[in-house]
Amino acid sequence: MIVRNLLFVLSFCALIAACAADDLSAYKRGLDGPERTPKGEPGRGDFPFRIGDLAPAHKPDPKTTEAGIWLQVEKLERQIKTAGRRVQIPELNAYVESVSCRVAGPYCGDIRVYLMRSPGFNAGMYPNGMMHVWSGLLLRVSNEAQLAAVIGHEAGHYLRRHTMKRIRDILDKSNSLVFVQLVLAGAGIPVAGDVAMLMTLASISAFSRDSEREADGYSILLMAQAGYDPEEAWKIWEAITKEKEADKEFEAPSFFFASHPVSEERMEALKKLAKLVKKPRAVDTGRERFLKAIRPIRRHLLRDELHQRKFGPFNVLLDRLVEDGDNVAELHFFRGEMHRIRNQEGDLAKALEFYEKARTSPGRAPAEMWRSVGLAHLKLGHRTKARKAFDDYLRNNPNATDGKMIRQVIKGLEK
Amino acid sequence: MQKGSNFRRSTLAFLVLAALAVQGCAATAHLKTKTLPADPEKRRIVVLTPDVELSILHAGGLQEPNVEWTELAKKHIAAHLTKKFKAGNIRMVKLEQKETEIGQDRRESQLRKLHQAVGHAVLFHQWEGHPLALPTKAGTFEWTMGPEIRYLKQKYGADFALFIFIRDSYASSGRAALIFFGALLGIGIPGGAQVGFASLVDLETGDVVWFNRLLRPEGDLRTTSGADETMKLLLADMPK
Repeated sequence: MIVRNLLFVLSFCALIAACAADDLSAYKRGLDGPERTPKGEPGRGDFPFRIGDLAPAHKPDPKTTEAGIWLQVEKLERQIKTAGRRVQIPELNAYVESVSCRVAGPYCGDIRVYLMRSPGFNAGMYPNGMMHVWSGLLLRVSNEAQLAAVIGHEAGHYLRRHTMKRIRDILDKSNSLVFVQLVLAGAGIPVAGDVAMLMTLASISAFSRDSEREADGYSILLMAQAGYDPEEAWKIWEAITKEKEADKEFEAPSFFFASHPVSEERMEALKKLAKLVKKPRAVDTGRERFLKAIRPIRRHLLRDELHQRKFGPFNVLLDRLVEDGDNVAELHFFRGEMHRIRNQEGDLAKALEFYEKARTSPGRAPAEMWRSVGLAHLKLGHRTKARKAFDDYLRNNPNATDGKMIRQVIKGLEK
Repeated sequence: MQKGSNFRRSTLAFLVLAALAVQGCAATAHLKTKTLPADPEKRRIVVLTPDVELSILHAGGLQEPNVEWTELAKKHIAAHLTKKFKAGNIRMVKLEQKETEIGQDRRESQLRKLHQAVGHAVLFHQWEGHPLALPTKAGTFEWTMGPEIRYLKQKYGADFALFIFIRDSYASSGRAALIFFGALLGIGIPGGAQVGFASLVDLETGDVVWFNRLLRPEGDLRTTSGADETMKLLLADMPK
């Protein structure tokens, strides 16, 4: 049974290097593989990273473990191509691809970014170059340079073959662990077997913590090479930390399973690295390009976040976006939606306040706002106001798919 | 950290192995028909890229897929099918082998995914004695992919589609040692195993007309004779 549990956890973690740092010596520690140093490397002598140990257009030798892993992951990638949760909006996909190509440079063809519809902040790299970026991540980076930081981090996992090394590590450790368990079981000490399993898992986590630090280093290096301002990388973590703190349900991950360095540590390390790396001549944050690409879908992303019903973090997310200042009307609308959906003491009145604020703020709230105004009034028993809001909704939204239903509601209000 | 497919895949592997531990039995197929239509123009089969993976079973129980073995097995399986259908007067319109072709056609890709779901559902819920067997399935065999499947009929000009799914593993030397020491201590540790299924779908109705599973701690797809033996067992009572 112990073996089964272990396997369960291992196979769960094995195939993907997820994303997420302290002093620089920790960065260097991870650099044990053979290094290739291409000509024209912009990293200075004291920067602890260079481009990875994979040549562009790398394909594994069929005799290797790596080839076996690719076989499985390529199968998975074919499925992901037509997965329902993959975001397929040609302009947006093309934009994300262009950023990824700029970051990956000669490895552009090796890294394929799939935008997946999922709230929350995450991205992941598979060993064959398939990268997943969660749609929720687009709400949590505020410009193209920050998006480039995430893509650079994941590209680092690929270039340094982190997942491959991790699978190798897991294979080796589980292979020796099972003998320990057998001996212990033979000696009649089953409890110690569990301890052995925990130790193994802890050492696997430590292994991946080092990988994360290394990937952060690559992120800074690739950003600088591509002409992005490396100072943007640490700023992501400032926002993420605030959001996490607002999540009451969030519990610090146990010591054993923490695969990612703590955000504060990470922020400090990223700041140091940004100072160390050779800066591009002209730095670019690409804020306008980023906003232009995200604007058309931002309300769908916000809706997905809201449906998680994590109201605390959602509020913090909105705070940051308001501070950022793009289409504030839409953000006030979602603040109203948050109150309406939470529906605790005083929330409905607050919702109406925010809808009103949205109406008078710069930018444009979605047409569905009138329906929300109507629903809030309806719950508060304001029949006349509800009626008026639903009328406004139908007028502003003549092709609303729920038009018939709303007309039905209006009929009920007329009685 | 992403969940989803990898997680499901490992769950799947456990369920299959659980069934193996419970039964350790060989082929007993489920079928709706014993024969294909006599009209030679209605005996056309498309084989939709056998999903085959051969792997090394490591001491710790993890499986490492092996590309060379897998390629070898695919060749042997293709050769066996070509021979078998020729002898049985069944026209094989296509034996697709290039996995890169999948995914280019979105509609076909979704149908393949659908069969993956249906096939695994049959595997888990149809057989009595399986931990996940459904009592409502006892004594009946009613599974269908629905008429949407006609798309494949038009695309390939075939009357039936054969789906094959095989996972075949071989104990590493470490695993073999573990099994040996385990036996000394009186602990039974499983070695490599063949698990899989074959499913024949009527491309007019979408009904699964024949389904067989493979579930045994032996067999070897790496050699011609071993592959012939395995495929004979898997396709033993496929409608003729």
